[in-house]
Amino acid sequence: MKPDALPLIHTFWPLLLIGVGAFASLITSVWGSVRSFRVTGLLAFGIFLGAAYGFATLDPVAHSLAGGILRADGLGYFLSFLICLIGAVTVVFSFNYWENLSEPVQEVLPLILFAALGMVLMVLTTHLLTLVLALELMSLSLYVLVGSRRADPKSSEAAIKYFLLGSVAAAFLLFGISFLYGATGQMDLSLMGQQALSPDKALLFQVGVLLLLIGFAFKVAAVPFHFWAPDVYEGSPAPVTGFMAAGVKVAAFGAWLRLLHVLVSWEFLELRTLLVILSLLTMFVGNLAALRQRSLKRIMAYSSVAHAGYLLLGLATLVEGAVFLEAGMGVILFYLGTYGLLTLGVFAMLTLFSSKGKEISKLDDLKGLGYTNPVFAAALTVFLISLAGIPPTAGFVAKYFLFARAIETGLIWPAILGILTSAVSLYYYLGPVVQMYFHDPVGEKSMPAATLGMKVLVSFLVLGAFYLGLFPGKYLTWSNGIRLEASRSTPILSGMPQTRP
Amino acid sequence: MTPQLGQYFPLLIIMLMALVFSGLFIFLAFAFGPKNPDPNKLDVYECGVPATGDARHRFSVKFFIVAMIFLLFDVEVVFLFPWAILLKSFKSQGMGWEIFWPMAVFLGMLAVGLFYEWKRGALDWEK
Amino acid sequence: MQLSGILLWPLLGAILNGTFALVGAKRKRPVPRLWVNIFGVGLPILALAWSVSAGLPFIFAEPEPLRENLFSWMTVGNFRVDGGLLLDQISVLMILIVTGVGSLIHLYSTGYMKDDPAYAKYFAYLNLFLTSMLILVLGDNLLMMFLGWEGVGLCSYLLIGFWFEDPAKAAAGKKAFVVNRIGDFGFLIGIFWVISLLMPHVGDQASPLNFEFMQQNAGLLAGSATLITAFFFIGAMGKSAQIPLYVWLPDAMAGPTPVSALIHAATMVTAGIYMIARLSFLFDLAPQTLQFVAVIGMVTAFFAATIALVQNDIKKVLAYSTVSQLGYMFLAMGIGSYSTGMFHLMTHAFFKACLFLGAGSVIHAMHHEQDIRHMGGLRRFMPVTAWTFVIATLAISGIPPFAGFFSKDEILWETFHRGHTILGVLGVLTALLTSFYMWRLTFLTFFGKCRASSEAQEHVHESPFSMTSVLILLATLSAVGGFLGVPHILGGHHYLRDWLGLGQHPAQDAHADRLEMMLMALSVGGALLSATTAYLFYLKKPQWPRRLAASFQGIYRLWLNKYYVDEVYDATVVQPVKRSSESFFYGLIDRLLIDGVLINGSGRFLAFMGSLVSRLQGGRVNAYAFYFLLALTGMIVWVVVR
Repeated sequence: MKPDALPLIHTFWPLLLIGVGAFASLITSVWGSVRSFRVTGLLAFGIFLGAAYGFATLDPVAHSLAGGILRADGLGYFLSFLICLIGAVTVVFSFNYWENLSEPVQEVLPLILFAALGMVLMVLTTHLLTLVLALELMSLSLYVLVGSRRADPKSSEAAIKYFLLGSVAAAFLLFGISFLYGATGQMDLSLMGQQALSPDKALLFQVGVLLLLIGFAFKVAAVPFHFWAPDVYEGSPAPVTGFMAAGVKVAAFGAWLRLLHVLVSWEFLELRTLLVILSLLTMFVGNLAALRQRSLKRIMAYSSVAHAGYLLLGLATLVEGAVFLEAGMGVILFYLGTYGLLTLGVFAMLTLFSSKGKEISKLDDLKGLGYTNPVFAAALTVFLISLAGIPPTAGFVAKYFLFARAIETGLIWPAILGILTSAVSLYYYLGPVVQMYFHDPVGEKSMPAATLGMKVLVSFLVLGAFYLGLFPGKYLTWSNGIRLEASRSTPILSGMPQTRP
Repeated sequence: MTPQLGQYFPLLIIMLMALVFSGLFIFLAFAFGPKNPDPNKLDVYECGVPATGDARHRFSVKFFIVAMIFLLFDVEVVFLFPWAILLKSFKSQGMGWEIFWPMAVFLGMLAVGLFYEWKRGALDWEK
Repeated sequence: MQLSGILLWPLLGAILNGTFALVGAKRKRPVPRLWVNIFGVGLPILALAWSVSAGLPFIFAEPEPLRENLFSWMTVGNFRVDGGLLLDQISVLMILIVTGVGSLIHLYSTGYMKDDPAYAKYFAYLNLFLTSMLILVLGDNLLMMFLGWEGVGLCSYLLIGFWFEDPAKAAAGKKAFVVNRIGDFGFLIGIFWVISLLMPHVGDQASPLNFEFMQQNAGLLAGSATLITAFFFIGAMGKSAQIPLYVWLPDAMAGPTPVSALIHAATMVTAGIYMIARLSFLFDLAPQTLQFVAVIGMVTAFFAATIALVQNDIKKVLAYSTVSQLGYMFLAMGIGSYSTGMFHLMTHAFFKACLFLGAGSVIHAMHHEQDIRHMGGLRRFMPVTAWTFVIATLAISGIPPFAGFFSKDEILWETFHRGHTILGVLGVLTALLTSFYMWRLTFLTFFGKCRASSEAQEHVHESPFSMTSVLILLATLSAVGGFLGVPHILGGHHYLRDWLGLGQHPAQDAHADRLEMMLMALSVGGALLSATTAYLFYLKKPQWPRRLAASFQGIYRLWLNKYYVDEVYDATVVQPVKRSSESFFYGLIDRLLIDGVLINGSGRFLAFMGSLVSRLQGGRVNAYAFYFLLALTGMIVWVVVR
């Protein structure tokens, strides 16, 4: 056995579990029957839960394997944990969405696993090449997932658009990495951080950083790299959109955090200014463009853009001169978790509305739902107002901490502008609510039956939205305890670390 | 010429020779071959597809599948060459297993892929 | 679990009964009453049992206060609030009253509300009220107290407007809610003030709102104590119906009578008293506020008693009587005799609950007739109700050895003894009025000839056992409850006072004994005199009061119309607010400025911006990629040029 093999299994067994599971699910799904879909679904669900458990209990040793190709630390484990939960939720969605079709799209579940594998790998590496590989694994799986409603031209359009633009972004990313390699001679971020940069390479390095950031800005749908989002969100099947919206954001922001952690040491990059500008643009365009939308999915796309803006503001708060304020990460991690929860909540509803392969997301379709399906309408309302940041829900707490952090670190005006755009967002988040409660139902629309798992899941999500809103303390303390170094981190489930911001 | 690039000088010669020889044979064929042109012969040769016409013409997706499968397995097999060459030297240093297992895993993945394609009927021309 | 159980049982009841109500509504067929009874009454009784088991050690020994942390509520930087519970002598007394009287009233309600279609909903609200009240008295910090404070306010609103089909009743609920908000506003300001003063001094784990922490750091609050406590007292004015915020309580009688007994007599309205007792360490630092509390309390007591003299609605009399008795309690608080106030709170809970439930029994029997002019002689039809009512009247009018005598006498004595002569005189006068209006009520309702129509008389019946048993229990408590604080001169001992250990009490000397003896004689004599007058007026010479009313037309009308306070409020506060809302706030600010400029204007502006932004979103991939490139170029130019 290789000397690295043991720590590989010790510190990364959940990652391996997902990988093995992805291949296993490929085999179980091959028969193409409803039964094999069910077996695969159970398998995938179990794998996600197992991996989530693993990431939650593993001790973050801050240990790098094979020159940073894999890195085990608090941040990576926490984000991986989130991704696994998102994956598990997506599996439940998929059950509700595809299982009652006569011929389920078999590839969906393995692809979700592969995409999750990419995401997890993305947050568990400090090596740029692994990063690109992980990103591509995630992206390629997602392209196919987006286009998985083959009968619908919109789905294919979305897939093609996502693919084309994604390739452009990937090209930028690779180009940027080659620049960085050219400037520093390093591929591993942790080594790159220790590198002295010769002044004549500064411009090369800077352009490389820009290209790299653009690559990730595309993934999180930051303006002006967000144009794919509305079309792709609209075209892809609801469970996939939810997975994409929540999972990709977690993974990409994980990568942002790792990059920032290293890049701040070069002050001339002025990352803080760059991030603030990007963040303001993103907040404004995301929130404003959402105002005119008539489709819940497009609203969610712009909402995702807007939230990326808030998160970018959160990233900006981490940069203080040449110092990376590690303690501030907790706020961003909390926001990511909350955003994931709420977005999944909305897409849970969309999944419920659009079973049997028919996508329903027009606002007009929601008319009178408050009277025909009071429970689902209430749940959707909870998620939407929480996304808008209204207490006592999780969204409020997340936004509150984020903006409070921004003000603390001196980003007062961006924070004020952010809060203003957040107020604007109330308009489009309440739009569906108005449709549901202030309009009479049109025609006889029966909601497709929800599976038991879906019902349980939605209850959990609603409870979560309130729980995090009312009692954020414990989880905030967890996320605040997440570090990139081992000495200050403890496993997520082992209780509260004593460090506080 | 810097010494670094000098290492690649033989490569340059190979490329030049390839150019010269292929050019030579094309020229010879062109100069001495019998010429009986007719429209079909003048047409560019392409397998199964008429070479001229609308570019947005539809043709069977099976071609793509075959091409993709070929590409995948072919490219992946390329990995086997350096591995096979290095295997001996690794083995002589007592590290044979360490280089054996990764390739075994890799081939295992390939096998799963093959199994999947097979089972899903990607290899059947007529389904 | 020992503490949280006390409030979790009623909470469970509220959830279960709420579910029953929903299920019943959905199936168009109510859930069987038995189920509601089992959970709606059983769980409060369980809570009583837990309260007793938690309280017993405190009664027989003096253990350390019990603390329990339910959950960590919020942690924002250094600011930390826990959902913590605290059980000490004061809260033991309160939980025993709340769960004890509460359980009895739950039991009573099973009879009173038997035919109500919204039976399960009623019990859900009542259980929820119990939970909130227990949170209020068990919370170990101001925010938990406020949570309970708002919770009981909500339940009060829901229950006053329980029969909301009647617009007057719905309006009464609204009035209670709105008036209480004014008080709550004061309470909140007090809380914020405390936070702002204590925040710089909290350590890593302490909460600035924790009572024990506040007490330890009371010195830090001393500078602003007068204003802080004044704001807290504004909160108490609202919740405990003191001048000028008492107006909601008489209207609150629109709710079902057991609700009036539980919420608007025995428990919720005493929350203000409890709050002052709980924060007595703070009020001790603010003598001006205390003075203010005493004056407000006494004036309210007197003022409400005069109104009660001439009211004809059985519940209205009791409502004003409650306001008046609460005034007594505030008087006790204001003169710094906190434990006496708590003592009166307890005895009042017993006899006022008994009176209200007796009134409820009458109303139940008379098919919702509430006017005492149409009653009389009911003791023949409903002896148990009549005699328990008489016992409670004996208690409230201060006739020994019933409960009210001891607690009221202690208040009066302490008032004089601490040198508040004017307040004391008013107090004695109020006691006379109290005796008069209560006996008037009793005689008019239960004695003399029956003035109801003969048809109505046929239907009058004694209430079922579930109601009368509760009356008997409460009457017993009203009879013996006072023995917890028998004065020394009668050879007794202030058990409750020593046990609570709140505030300072004057020494017992010969002079004090003389004073106390004199006061006792005076008040008992006065009460008997009043009772006799009432007897003459309303049983023997019914023409006298009429003649009296005719010759003192002015003051009679003034009292009958409750000093026109509602009308004055309407003219000075409600109408101006309404008018200015309509013309200025609605017309100008809301319609023109906010709707016109801010809402629609900003909306249009934003929509315009939105349309600009979405114009970029043409759906063409090559355009998108071009924007990418543009952005990249811009960034690189920025980098190079800079």
